[in-house]
Amino acid sequence: MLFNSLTFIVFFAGVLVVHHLPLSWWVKKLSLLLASYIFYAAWNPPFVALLWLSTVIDFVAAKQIAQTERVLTRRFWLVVSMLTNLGLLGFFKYGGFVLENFVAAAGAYGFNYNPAAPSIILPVGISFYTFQTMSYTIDVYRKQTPPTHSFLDFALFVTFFPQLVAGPIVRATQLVPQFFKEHQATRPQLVWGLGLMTWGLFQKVVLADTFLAPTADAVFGAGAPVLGLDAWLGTLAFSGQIFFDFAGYSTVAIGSALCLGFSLPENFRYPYAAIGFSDFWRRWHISLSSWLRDYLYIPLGGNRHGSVRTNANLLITMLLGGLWHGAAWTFVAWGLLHGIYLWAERLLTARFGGQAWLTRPMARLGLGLLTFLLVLVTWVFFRASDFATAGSILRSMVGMTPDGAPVIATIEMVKTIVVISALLVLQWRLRDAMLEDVVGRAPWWLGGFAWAAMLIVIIITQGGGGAFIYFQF
Amino acid sequence: MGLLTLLLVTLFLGIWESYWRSEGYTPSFENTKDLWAHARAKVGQDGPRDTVVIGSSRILFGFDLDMWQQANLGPRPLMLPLVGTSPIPVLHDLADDPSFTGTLICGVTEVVFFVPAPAPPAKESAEFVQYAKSWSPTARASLFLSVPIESALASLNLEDLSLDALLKRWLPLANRPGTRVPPQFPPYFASIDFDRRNKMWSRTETDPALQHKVQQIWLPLIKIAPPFAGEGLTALLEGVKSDVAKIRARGGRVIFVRYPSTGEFLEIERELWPRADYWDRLLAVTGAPGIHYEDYPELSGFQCPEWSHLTRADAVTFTRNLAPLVRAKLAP
Repeated sequence: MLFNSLTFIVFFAGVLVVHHLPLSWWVKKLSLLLASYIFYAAWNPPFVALLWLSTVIDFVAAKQIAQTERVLTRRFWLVVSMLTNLGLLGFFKYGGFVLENFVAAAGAYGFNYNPAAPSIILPVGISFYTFQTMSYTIDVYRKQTPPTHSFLDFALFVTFFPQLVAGPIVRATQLVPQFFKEHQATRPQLVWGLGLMTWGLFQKVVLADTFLAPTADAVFGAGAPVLGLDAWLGTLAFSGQIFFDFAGYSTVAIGSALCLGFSLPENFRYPYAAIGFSDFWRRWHISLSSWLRDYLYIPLGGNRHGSVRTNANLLITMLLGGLWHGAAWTFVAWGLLHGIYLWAERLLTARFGGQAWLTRPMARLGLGLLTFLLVLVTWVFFRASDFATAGSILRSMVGMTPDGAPVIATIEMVKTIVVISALLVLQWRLRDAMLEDVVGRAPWWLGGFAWAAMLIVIIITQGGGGAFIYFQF
Repeated sequence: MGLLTLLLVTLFLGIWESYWRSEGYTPSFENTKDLWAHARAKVGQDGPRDTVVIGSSRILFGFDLDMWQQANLGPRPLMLPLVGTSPIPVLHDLADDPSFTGTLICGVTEVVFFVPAPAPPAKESAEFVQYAKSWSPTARASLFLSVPIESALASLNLEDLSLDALLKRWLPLANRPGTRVPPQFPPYFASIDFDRRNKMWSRTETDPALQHKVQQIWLPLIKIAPPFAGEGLTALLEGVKSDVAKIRARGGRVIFVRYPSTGEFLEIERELWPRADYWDRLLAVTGAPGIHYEDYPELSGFQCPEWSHLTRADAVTFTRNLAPLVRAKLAP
């Protein structure tokens, strides 16, 4: 079910009503679980079976791990959990990609192998919930969290609809304890939650889909070299589109959970105001970057085994992080670039770190803009459907295609420039602030006007139906 | 704060709705993929008595469902034409659907019918077909939930009154020379029923300025690509022939219909897609019957206000006159 659909509005209203009925906490949790299954089944009912499989395996595996001190048994159940989750992910997400590359490799060695094209449908959100359940079993294995004894609590942790299909990827320690005792939103929480949902939908429906997507689509779908100006605007538009799309989803997720009385961790913190790439990854898709840090980078050795190993670990983590986003080499290239940036940043920090001039406002602004510029380059690989398209756009951006065609209508150029400029200025000004504080300091009537304005523009936009970009991951 | 928000939103929407109604807008459904998928899902429900209409906008405007039902006493036809698109992907989809054993009426508008598969008119209808195949429960629910809202609000009009459409109208900025942007389609000139019957907006029928505006949009659109010809065209016709044969093999019937066009639009059509090379060849290759409006006095003489579509009244008359001809052509 899409957040930006009428079905969700009706569904969520129903969930809220049931959640506020005088029922026992157990019944309310059960109703939330059923609602979550309905939310997921609304796309493709059979795929609910995958959720059940992941839930049951990880619940049993964690219980078995916690019951024994025998290393072999504990490892066995950990492997069962990881094979199940990574197996699901591998089959549904990477099956076609592996086959395609196997065929290409066989062809390169003279073997003409032509298998039937697999028609595997990617279950929505599989990358998110498999990572979430896996983290629980790993945490139990590491004795960082106790196993959950209530199957209902665990199933709700895996399936909780606000964050089920596109995060934030929540740890068991963040969510499961909230199910222990009754949670119901206070009046201010309900108002703030509804406000966040409106702000999230505004980002998705108005800013991402209406203001920026047409420019990005025109440039990345041109199918021929485009003018340098168009290439830059298309990439800028995509940088905004992906942010508003994904941050919008996370904001609706956090807001809807809050309306029910639950708290979810923030997933974005003004990422385009980042100074440097480690700062960027502390601000962009925070729940994924912290997952990769805790379950991949640190187990690989992190920064504990010298400079060479640290850099290699960074590269591996970012490469796999890229592949997590999609089964295509362009995503690997996106991850590789981020890995190289992080590696280069380590080198430069070791050489120039601590110098006083770096703390001056203009230097910080310059470094922030440089970070954004380099992030822009990575978005070309993220958005392009293949390397030929990415190469063509990058060539246009550096002025190597003077004969490129103009592909963006003037009105779309204006929309892109206005929205991206506002995005950068606001993120920079608010980079160390919390949205709650900013809104809290404003007069109440101004908040009411802003909220009404967002709702009115969402309604006039008449958007909806456009899937969130991160659903495909 | 919540109360103030609610008050402001309600106040604004009331004024907004009143304003657009005063401008002549009336409640109408959107030509969305969901509405199309809803009609597509009904194919096969009436077995051999099914009548399915495919094509592009001309037949969408010009085929009156009530009149057809009166004239034929059969189940209500299913409207699957899509504005500005080729019906060939839809024909192919129906040919591959064993549940369809009824009558298929296919409107032919040369500029969008005779196009290669990757061209936008064919690509877009193929997307609708694909969408309908995986039509999700949530999309179905949203469609039905939208019915009371779309039936009540004139200001819900995606093509003409959405923020994007309004920005383009209010900020008519000229594009750079040579900018490759999608063609502009005419402004709102139809209301759409839940069963996808399009009815020309009364202002389009009577307002010469609006008619002229739409006419001037047609002219570059119709010449956007050279006429499809050569081996590609032969392959296209063979594909249509194969699809027609599949439907006929299981007892279904297919008929092609050429709806009227007028004015400069018709002149260009005659020049770019000569009847002998396209329409006549289509019938000859596929072996399917066809009705060209020029061949029947009762179907000729209609004036399309903007050169390409029938008025509401003419659509009723045209359908009344078309029904017996179709029946005769398809008689065993």
